[in-house]
Amino acid sequence: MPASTPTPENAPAAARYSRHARLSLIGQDGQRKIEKGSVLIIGCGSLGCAQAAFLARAGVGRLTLADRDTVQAPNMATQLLYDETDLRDGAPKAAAAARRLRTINSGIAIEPVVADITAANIEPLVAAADLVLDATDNFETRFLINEAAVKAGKPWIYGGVLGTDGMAMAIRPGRGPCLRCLFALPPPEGRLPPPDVFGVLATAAVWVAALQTTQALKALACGGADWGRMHTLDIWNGTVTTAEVLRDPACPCCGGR
Amino acid sequence: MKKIKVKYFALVGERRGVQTDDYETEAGTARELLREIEASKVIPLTTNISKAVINGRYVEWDEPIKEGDLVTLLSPFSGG
Repeated sequence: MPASTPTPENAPAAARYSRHARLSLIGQDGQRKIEKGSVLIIGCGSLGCAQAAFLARAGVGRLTLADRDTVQAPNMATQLLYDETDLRDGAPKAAAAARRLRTINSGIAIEPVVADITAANIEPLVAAADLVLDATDNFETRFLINEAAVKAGKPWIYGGVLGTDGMAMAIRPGRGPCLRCLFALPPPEGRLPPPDVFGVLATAAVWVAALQTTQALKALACGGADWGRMHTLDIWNGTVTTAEVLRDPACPCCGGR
Repeated sequence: MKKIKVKYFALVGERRGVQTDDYETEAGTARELLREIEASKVIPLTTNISKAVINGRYVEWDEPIKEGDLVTLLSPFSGG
């Protein structure tokens, strides 16, 4: 079949993304900006899988997915991009996620980074993206993201989940609070219960990821997001609590920048 | 005594046994409230990790508490 022959999977962007483009809040212009956007997702667990699927389907032009881990049995209940072949092969999550995302949208660039994110490699990854989505499972990496994003002046969106609850906040360095305006220091290791001990409900993670992704799409399409407001979600009871975070002039990260 | 409402999430709510408490307190600040609640039940909150939100705004632990306030006590969520 000639390459130019239209097929359902290579339908024009106008058709493919029409549901979003018809939203008055996004529109054709906003959708075109989304298609030119580049997003770095750090972590390919329950948050990262859902974020990446939403953004690939939304047509974000370039997705970079970073994770050091391989697919394990406990991931299968909450991490939506992996299948039993990935589990059997012990596939690296970033590579398996990229493979699956290419079957969802072959028209965007998807780059897996199978690596631990550290101070040595985070800056070029952040510099190459328009925006960073947090999908990590630890505060040490979140503080690295915060530092690199503040240094580069790039927006990023914090998200965390535990049990049936979660939190999300969009951060715009220089305009509003950064993560360290709220949490000056990372919690000491072992002080916060991790999901592998306390458990996590997949739908809570997807709700947090949906809120983070919505903020990302708003930032890409319109330049705005709900900067500096922490949303705390309780999906078991169906509640959202929103609280304003103030910028700290003495913040050890963004103070004075 | 002031009548306030205290809200919890995740592990804190599970340990406390409720998500929202109608609570009577003599605590003058968020820090005193945390101490008072901890005296009756061990909950995993500390002022160097956890945060207090009063009526929709993150506050320092020395923020005064008034009659009718909604106080949320929570720690950051680290899972992803």
